[in-house]
Amino acid sequence: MSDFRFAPIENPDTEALWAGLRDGRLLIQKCSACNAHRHPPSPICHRCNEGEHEWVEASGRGTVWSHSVVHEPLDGWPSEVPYTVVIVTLEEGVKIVSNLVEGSHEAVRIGAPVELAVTQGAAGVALPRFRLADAG
Amino acid sequence: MTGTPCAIVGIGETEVARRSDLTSVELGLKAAIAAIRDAGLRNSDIDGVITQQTRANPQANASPLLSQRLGIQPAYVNDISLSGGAPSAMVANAVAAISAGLCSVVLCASGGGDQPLSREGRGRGRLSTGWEDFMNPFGAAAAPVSYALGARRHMHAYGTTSEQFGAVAVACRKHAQLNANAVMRKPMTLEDHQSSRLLADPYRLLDCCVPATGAGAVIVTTAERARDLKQRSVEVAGIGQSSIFATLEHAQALETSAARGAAERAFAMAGLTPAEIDMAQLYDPFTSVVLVTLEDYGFCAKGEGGAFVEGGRIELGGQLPVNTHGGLLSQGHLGGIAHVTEAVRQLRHQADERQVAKARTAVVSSQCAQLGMHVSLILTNERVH
Ligand SMILES: [Zn+2]
Repeated sequence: MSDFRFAPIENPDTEALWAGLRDGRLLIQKCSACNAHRHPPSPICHRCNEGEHEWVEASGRGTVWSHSVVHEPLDGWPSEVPYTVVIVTLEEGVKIVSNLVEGSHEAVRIGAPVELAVTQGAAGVALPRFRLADAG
Repeated sequence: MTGTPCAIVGIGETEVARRSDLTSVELGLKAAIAAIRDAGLRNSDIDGVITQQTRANPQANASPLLSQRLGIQPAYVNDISLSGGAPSAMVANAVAAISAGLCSVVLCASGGGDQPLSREGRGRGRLSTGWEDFMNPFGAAAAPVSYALGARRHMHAYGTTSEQFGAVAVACRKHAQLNANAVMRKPMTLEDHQSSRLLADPYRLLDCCVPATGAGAVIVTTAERARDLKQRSVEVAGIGQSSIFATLEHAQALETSAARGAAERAFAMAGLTPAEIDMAQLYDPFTSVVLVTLEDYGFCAKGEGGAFVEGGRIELGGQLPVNTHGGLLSQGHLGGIAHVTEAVRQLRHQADERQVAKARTAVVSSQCAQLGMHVSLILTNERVH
C-alpha cells in the first residue's frame, strides 16, 4: 500500500470516503432525491442524475458476488501473493471491489457472508477490506 | 444494411512480435501503408483517418499525426480510445462518417499492440474513473484478475469447467500454427493448459492472451466504389454496439455481456441469423470471454458455451471456426485489429492453409470495460445491398 502507484488519490468526489475509512467507517453516498445508494462515489446519481446526497455509514455486512485468488504478482502489483480479490454486494445493494483479509482465501465462495475489516496502511491510506463472517 | 452501403477494401498488418523498438505511431503507419497498397489506392485517395488509441502508448492527436506522416490532409479524422473495443468501433465510425457524407475513403489504423503499461509519472491530476482508485489498491486492476471475476460467475451459474476454457486456448493455438504471423506456434494440448500455473483463479497462464507488439489497418469505403477496386469486396452487412457498464461495481451480471445487445443489433441490421455465419473472430483476452460471447451472439444457448467449444466445434473444419488467425490468445494481443483483418482475408479466400472453405459470412467482435462495452461487425463477400 505504500507504493504510490497503487494508492488512491483523494479528490472532491472521494475525500469523504477516504476520510471515513481513516476513522474505520465505510461511507457510501445516498441520493437525497431517490434514496439510491452508490459506489464508487460520483458527483451525480446514476439513477436520477440529481447531485444532492448524504454520506451514510454502510453496515459493513455483505456477501461475496465473485472472487479470484491471485497467485502471481500481476501488472507490477507490489504486495505478497496469494491474495484474494472479491466483489462484495453490500447490504445497501451496492457492489464494491475489495480484498479478503489475509488467511481466509481458501474458504471463499460466492454467496459467503462477509464483514468490513478496514486496513490502516502506510501514508494515511485506509482501505475497505472484508473478512469471511464465519471466520469472524 | 448500413446507412450508406460500405465495404472493407484494404487490409494491412505489421509483423507481430513480443517486443518492438518501433513506436505505436510508426507501427500504425506501416500497417496503414500496407492497407492502402493492398486496396490498390494511393495515399491521396484517403479522405478520412481514424486511429485506435492504445492504453500501452496513448498518443494525443494520433489521427492528425498519422495523416501528416502519410502526407495527406483528410476531410475527417477521429481518435478512438476504447482499448479492445476500438477495432470494430473504428469500422463503425468509418461507416457512420461515410453515411453522413463527411468523407468517402477511410483509413482505420490501430496502435502498436498491448505491451505492458509503464506507470512512470502516472496517477496525478486524473479523474476518479473507478479503475485507479477502486481497483488498483486491491490488486484487482490487472486484466487477468478483473476478468477472472467474470469467469468465476460463469462457472458458478452454469458449471463451466477449466477444461472447457482450455478448449478455447487449444483451438486458438492450432490456428496460430497455421499463421506465420503469430508469436505462439508451439503445439498445445489440453493437458498443457491444465498443468499451466494458476495466475488468478480460475485462470491459468494458458487462459491468458499473449502481450505483443504490432499493428493493423483497414480501408473502408462505399460498396459502390469497392466494386471498382483491386480486391474482392467485403461488405459491412451489420454493425451493433452496446455499452452496459464501465466498471465492475455497476455490472448486473458477468455470465453475460454487452455482446448480447451488440449482436442483436448487428444481426438485425444484416438481416442474418447466427446459423448463417461461417466463422467468428471474437475478441479473446481470456478464454472464458470467447465462451460468453458465443452464447450472447446466439451460437448456442446461454450456459451452453462450455459444451459448445468442446469437441473441435470451434476449430477449423468444425461447425463454427473461431479466431482462425490464433487470436489474442496465440497470435498475440494487437488490441483486436487482427480479428478484422483476418475476417476480411478469409472472406476474400486468401487465408491459404487456414482458409474456411466456401466462407461467405463472418462476425467480428471487439470489446472493452471488461464485458461492459461491445462492438460487433457482420461481414460478407456477397452483395447484400
Ligand atoms: Zn437519485
